[in-house]
Amino acid sequence: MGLERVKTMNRKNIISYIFLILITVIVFIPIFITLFASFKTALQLGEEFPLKPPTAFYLKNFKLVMENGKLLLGFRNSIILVILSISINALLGSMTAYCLSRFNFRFKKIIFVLFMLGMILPTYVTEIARFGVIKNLGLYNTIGAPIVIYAAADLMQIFIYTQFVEKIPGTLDESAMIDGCTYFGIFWKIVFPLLLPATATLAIIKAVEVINDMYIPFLYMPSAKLRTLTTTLMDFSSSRFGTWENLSAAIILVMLPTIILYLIFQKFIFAGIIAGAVKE
Amino acid sequence: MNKSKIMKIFSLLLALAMLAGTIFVGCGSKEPATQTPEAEEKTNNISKSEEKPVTLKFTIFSQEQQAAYTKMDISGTYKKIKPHVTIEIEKVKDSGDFEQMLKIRKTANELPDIMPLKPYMLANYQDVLAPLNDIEAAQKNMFAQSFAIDGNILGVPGSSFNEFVWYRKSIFKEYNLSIPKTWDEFVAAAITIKEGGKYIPILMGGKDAWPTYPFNEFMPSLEANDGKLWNTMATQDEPFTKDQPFYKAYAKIQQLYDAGVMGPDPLGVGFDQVKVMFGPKKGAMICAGQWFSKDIQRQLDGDFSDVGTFLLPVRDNADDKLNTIAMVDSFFATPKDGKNLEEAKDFINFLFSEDWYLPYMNERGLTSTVKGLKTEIPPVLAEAFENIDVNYVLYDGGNADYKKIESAVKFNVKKLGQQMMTGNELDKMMEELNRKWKDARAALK
Amino acid sequence: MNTLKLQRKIFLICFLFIPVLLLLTFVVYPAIELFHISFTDWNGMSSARSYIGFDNYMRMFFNSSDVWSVLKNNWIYFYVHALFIPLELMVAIMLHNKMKGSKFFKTVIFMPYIMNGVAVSYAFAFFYSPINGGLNGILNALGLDWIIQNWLSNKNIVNYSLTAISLWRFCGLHIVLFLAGLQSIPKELIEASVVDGANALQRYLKIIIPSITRVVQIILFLNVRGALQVFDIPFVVTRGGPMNASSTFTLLTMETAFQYNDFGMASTMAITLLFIIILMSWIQDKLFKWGWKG
Repeated sequence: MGLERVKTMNRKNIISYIFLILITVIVFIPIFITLFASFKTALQLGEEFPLKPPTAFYLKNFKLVMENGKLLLGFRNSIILVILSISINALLGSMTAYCLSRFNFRFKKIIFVLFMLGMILPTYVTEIARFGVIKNLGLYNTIGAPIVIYAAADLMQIFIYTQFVEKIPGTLDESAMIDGCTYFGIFWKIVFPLLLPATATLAIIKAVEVINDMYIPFLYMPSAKLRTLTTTLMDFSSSRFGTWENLSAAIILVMLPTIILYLIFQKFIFAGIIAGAVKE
Repeated sequence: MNKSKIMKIFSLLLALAMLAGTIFVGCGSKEPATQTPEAEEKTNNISKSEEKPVTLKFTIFSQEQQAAYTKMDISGTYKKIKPHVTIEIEKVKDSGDFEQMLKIRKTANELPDIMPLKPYMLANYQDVLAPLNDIEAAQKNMFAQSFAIDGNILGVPGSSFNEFVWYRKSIFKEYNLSIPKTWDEFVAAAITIKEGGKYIPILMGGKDAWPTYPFNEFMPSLEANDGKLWNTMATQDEPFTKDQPFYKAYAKIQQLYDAGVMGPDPLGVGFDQVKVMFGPKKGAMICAGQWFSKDIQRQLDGDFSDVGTFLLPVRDNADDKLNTIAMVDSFFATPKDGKNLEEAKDFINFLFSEDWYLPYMNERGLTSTVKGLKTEIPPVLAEAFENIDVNYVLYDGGNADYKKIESAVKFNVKKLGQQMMTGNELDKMMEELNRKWKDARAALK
Repeated sequence: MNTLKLQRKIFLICFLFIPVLLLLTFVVYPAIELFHISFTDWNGMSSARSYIGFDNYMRMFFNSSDVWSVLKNNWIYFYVHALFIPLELMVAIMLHNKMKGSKFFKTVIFMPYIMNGVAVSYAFAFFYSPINGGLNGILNALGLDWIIQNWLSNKNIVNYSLTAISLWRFCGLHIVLFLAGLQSIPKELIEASVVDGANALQRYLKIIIPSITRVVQIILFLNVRGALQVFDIPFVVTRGGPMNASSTFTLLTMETAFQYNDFGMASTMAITLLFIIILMSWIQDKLFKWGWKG
């Protein structure tokens, strides 16, 4: 390698670093402003430079949000919702993906198209039509409503599982078949356990999605007992009654679980994205 | 209902299929646990009382209301009176979300049992609300009859209040200003403060659109001295013409907005951002209802000594009577197809019973709507009415005819307020409104 | 063999029954219902609704200037995001060149995407505030106060301010998607081109893009769908204001339904949106294939 090459590489690296650091700053500025605001009083907020770190750990905003917002209840409900959604989606997603990638049958294409429809159907307005269905199934104002909606149309999970199912050699199925296993047996005893990494990926992505969703819980679980983290956030966002310092604290508290999940399990999230993106 | 029967069979099939997927596992040995727990939160504590337990869903959208209900423990209090009734409060963010929710829930006949409607919502929901003419709460209410639709009282108004200009006394003193008596004096006072360069004369959260309501929503009615101006306009083809009250009111508003007295960028800030500037004395005035006193209390720790109020002087001549809005709000209503209609009516009666109503109104700082029940007016508000000849204009949100035109034209006075703040040409705007209004009326005939 | 076939059939039916049933119930049926409502004059409230044929569609196409003017705002989201795609690919290539700290940068760059969109929008509403807002504060501190604008109230700027939020949220996803694509290209392929003396731009065009067509297609599709459906950013930050200056197609649809009680028209708009997304994705796909495969 010539000296010339090394030099240009270095110069390129420096440009890259400057660029990436700039992006990092841009990503963090709004987050820090919000974080700082959550520790400030209304008076400080009105007078100080927004990027000035708080001088003292003023915790009244957080206390107010925790107490008035009943944030712990919201947290509990979000967790329940996440666990149930993940279990059901993992089950249905793996089953569907296995069938769609291992077998050829008549309605395969149509099923794919239906999943696509779920992806492009305009959100929000469709709820006018969906609400009646939920109500008639007796799911209204239960945790079941968001669960079936989250389970119904998720192309992402099919992608993720398909990617992993294809990695499992078909010979494995065949030999199990010779041993006298049924298709059901093959799936539960062999395939499903092998799909565990995909399930982990799905679980993390789904958890982030479910925690962040606001409209479905707002619409289908209005009961105060069924508040989620995000619908709690709405309480502090009314411009007539709310204040920015309380809202900041609420924003931070609502963001926290997903950020923690992300920082710990980012490997799985990226794996899921790769599965969705590179699958041909 | 046929539909729901199909749905039931549907869900049964769904459950069966779910089971089937897990039963035929084959090749013996242990099966993975695949049961999906259906979360059903039904804590049916069957009490031995004679009456069946009833849960009334009570949806609200005001945080102050929620705070007061929590503090006074509304469910607990009612339990003592009617042990078999549980009051379940559902809180949504604001009136916009509230209406959205009502409309979607209406499609499935799943409306809450008790709803505190705003006056303009009454006409929207007139087909689904139960007439309340026979209940005690409606009969002893001062305003219920005035808002009846086709003789039916569909909601019992819970509170009444007035609109004020809240101002900082020390700033007025600093610039030697007295309380403005006419519209011109009001604009002139704001300009004086602006020229001083120290304070924002009028705090306005224009980004949210709704804070323009003291001007853009109420002033046409004040100018016309007609609380039902919307209904009057619904009978006219061109209500936006120059000699009409709507135009006159909007010309005044334009004069105010053009004076640039609402800070550097009133359309760029929300109400939450400007309201906190009143306490630290960065702004001199803010136009808002009686409800704003709670905010000031919080910001200034209850110290009202530097805070004053006056009525928005929407008049040309100081000798005229001063028209001011009397706003009636929180129309407690219940759906006519509700499963617990009678219980809901009883609960509305409870909300207006002396033992609950008076402490609640005092907690909220609102004015009573019930004959014979008087609430205290705080001194800071009382001063607005001193030495002044006031004429109350009872504001009405508009009837069904008006609502139809409103929808067709997409007539939104608060957005018009935003448009006027951008310095739009008033005449052009009014001409266009005339044209659309006329077209809509022609199409609806 | 026959029993095996039967078993296979039973297996497929058992496994696909629930997912398909869920799809039919919660996706297909509502879609059909929406289509159905679009031919009525239903106001969302009364039990009466009468069929008015294509009236809603006619009214939308020929007599609703606001629908088309807000679609221009969606267009801004679309093209600004599209302009950023080359830049995103560039950042992905930087991260792909395994330098020190690239893992950290990847973590940071993707973080906005996993944050709650509504919470982010609120944070930005204050970031843009003319009163002690973060952006103006920073510009002042840097001596760049002449740049300061009415970020949210100037009709000509507000959509770009909002698009910037969208960029902040979604660029990270695109970069990580590109990165996934890059990782699937055999290393030798890129190295070979370096030896051949291909310069960076040629490499970009000749080797990288054709081997990540699928990723590019996904990003283009996400961009069309995202730009046409954007809702929560303008809804939270400006409510579509001032007037309708920053409203979007979905925002206007919601307003039509819930504020102006015109569910028939709102459904018409939703169906139209569905078709616009399909059409745009199709055109984009064809253009892309035509451009790269000749």
